[in-house]
Amino acid sequence: MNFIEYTLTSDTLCMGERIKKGQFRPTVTTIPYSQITGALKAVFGNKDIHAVGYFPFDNEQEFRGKHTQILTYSPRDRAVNTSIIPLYIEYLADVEGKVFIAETEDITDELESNESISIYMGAFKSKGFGRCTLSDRKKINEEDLDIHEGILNTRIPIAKFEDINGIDGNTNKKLIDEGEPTDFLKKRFCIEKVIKARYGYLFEPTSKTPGCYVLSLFEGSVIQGPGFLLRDDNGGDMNE
Amino acid sequence: MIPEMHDIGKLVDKSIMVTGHTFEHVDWSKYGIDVNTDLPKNRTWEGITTHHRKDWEKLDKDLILLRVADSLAATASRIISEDKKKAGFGSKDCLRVLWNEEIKSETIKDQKGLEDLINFIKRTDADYFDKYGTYLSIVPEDISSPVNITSLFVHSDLTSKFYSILQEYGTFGNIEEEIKNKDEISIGHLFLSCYKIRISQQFTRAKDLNIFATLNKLNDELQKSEHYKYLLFSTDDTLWFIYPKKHYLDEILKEYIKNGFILEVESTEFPLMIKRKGGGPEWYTVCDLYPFIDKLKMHVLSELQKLDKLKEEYEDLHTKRREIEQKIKKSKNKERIEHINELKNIGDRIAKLKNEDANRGKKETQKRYDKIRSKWKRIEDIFSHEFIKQKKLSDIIKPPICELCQLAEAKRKDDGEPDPWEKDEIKEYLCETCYENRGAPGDERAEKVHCMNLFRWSTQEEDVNVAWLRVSLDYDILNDTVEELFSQYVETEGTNKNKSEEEIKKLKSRLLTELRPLAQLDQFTDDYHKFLDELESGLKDIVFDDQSWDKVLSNFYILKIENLSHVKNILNKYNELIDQHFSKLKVVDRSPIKLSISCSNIKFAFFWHWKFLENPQNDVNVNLVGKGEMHLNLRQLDKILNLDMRQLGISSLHKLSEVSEVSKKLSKVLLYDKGDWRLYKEYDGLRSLLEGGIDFPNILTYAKMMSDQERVVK
Repeated sequence: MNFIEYTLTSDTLCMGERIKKGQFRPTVTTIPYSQITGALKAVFGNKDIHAVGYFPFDNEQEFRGKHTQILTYSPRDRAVNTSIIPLYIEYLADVEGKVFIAETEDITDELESNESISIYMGAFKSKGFGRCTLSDRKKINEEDLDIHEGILNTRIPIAKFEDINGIDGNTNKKLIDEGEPTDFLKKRFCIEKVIKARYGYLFEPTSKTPGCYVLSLFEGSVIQGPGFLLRDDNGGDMNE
Repeated sequence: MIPEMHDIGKLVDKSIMVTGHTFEHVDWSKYGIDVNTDLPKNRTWEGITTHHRKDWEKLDKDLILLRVADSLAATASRIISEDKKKAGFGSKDCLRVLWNEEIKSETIKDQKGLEDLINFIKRTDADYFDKYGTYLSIVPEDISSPVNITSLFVHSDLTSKFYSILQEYGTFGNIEEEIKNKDEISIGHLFLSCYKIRISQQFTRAKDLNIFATLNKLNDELQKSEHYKYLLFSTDDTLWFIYPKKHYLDEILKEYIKNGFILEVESTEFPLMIKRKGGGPEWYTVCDLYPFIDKLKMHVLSELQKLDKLKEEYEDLHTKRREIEQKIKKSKNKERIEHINELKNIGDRIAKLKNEDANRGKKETQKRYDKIRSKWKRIEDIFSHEFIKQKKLSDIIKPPICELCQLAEAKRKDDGEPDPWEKDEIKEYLCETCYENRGAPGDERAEKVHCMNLFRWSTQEEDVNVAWLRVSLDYDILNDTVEELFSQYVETEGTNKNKSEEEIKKLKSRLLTELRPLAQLDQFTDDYHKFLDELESGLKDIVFDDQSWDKVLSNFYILKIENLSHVKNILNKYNELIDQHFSKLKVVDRSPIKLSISCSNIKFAFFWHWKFLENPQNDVNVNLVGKGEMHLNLRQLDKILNLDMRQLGISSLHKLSEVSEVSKKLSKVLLYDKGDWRLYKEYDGLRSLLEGGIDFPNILTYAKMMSDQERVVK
């Protein structure tokens, strides 16, 4: 599998975590599969697209200190002409990251014809958040993947919803018991082994509005996979 | 038999004991003790007097077990080298606490003390650590310098734990027979595991802090359970176990997982055997206990790779040299000069390599290489497993997902519809575990929150400012710190007039490779608990009354503060206690103990505080929500606290703080602005901090913190 690497830049970006107590919306500091793939699908249509990304940094706390800001926003109820509870939105400001798109038949031509891509990603798009530019296209060939052991730097689902055999299926059994990656992780992201898994859930839309949460590998998992997915290989804050 | 008492003889002074610590050469009549009637006759006494006997064939099963357990406990602090005593750095009657000042040992010197001790051994119901704990904490397990770093308390405790583990091996059924016929007996494997307890929830309400009460409860239950004997040492969020069989602890740890905690496990499997020494009657234990085997493997591997490269370069240079020497023989004058120059360069490079590596050339490199290779082979037998244990997770979750842990489906009613947690028109979707932890609104449990004061403050209308305070211990850093401090100790301690410098250098380097930090981690943890206890009393003094603070865990507090400058009192107390318990941590790069303080109004979202408290950036971290953060190491903390605040007027601090709200760069300019000479003079102290290596954002946060005193006056 070949990959196309892009540099992502954005002024304001709020991704990921759900609203807490109806009041707080924190942001994640990586670029999960669900976010970037969804954003690319919004541009290129419902094609066979698989992408992940991350923001390179050595220390998450430092990165947060430099790039996270808080916006207080109070949605207005026009019917009664009052503002409801204020919403605190945590967002990433002025950030640069990396995005990797798996080269599939569906998307190769589109990517080759676009030196830079403009996408909208994450929450509050209607309020001006989430505008990103993908530029500096580079190709990573299969022989340059440099597969080795390291700490995962992003979030990837263990499989696509359609491939999972019903709710409470056993797709993850071999993964959990023996660390053997699922077909999706193996074929789409060349992950050869999951050594230490840190699990969570990513949302996958199943049609226009409904969707499901799919079991996913989160940043901090230890895997044997391509160097570009690993934290140790991508140290240093390119945002400095 | 009470195995922890095997070294009780070390508590008795040399003037009584004459040699050793097994009561072999004591002149009992001198102390009015009748050998036939007054000495104990129980198994404990047998263990005390025979645990250094060389003829193992004459020992019974329990005594053999005691010998093995004693060796294992000793190997938890160093590998036992035969010629340790010949190292020749002498012996010391003090315990060298690596992270603090040395403690002078005190031993039993008089007849009364000896009689008491003998009578105590006769009893089988008494608590050894209770009675002799004070002595045990200040007497080293080994008085030879520089390995006098482990207290007898830790060694005895470890021996007791290893003894009970060894009793679980079936192999010992006929060990007395096996010892007579064999030269080597494999006992089994020991599993050393470090469990880090992580919280998956993102807290949104005061009642969500009940999860810490659950953690407290589970830790208490663990202490009372039969598995407690496998617990080597622990903090509230890290448990170190040693146990005899794989998956042995799954049963008790599943309670943690059931309650929504995530366990990060680093587990290492060590082979354990005993071998006959040189064909004679004496045996020795083979087991090398490293707390962080992966780190050691990486280190050894990188040394091997470095030496591989070095060897290759030597060989290349020597081949090149030979080739050029041949060329010189055949070449004419002009070419010959060029070749000679080239030869000179090669010679210089070889000399440089010798210097760089402190080796005497290829042979020495080869020797060092072989030594490291043999170490690599030894540790290759040790297996390491790393994994995370968490609740069984399903492949797919139908929305809504739990808003707190995001790892389970939100609770559903009988009809399959989501059953949200509802209050004041806010609906929150929670899973069973998080719902149970918080309790339904209005039910009895919901009103019984873990931290009553916090609950009161958060429901009150008045404006309450709080400081969340958490102290954490990072064992990974501690392991490195112990090695670094031991290396410094060996460097200062190692002098011997009878040995050449070369010999001393070799001895020192061997001592460093022989250190095993496990016992030190144990000892440090004991001191850390004492430190936390004193910090708690210190915090009580700072806040004055019980209504102004809450204890979440033994290392986690909430304090009501009138103004931000009160944080300085906390920092002062912390610094004072660090000086008292861990003074040497100020000479290392990173402290394994971290302090994080996060201040805000009580209404501010706790999960943002928790993000700050959970991952401390430096040794001391202060977060003033909306104002800035301060991250200092312990030396910088000293400097900042020593700053004479009387020089700095409140108004000048306030001015700096106000200017920084407009522009941080402008506030830095203000610090150096000579326009107002009075202000310039007042900022002398802050400038000296900046010149002393403390970043401006840290200084600014400190200035903002101190300028907050004005609020009280207002």
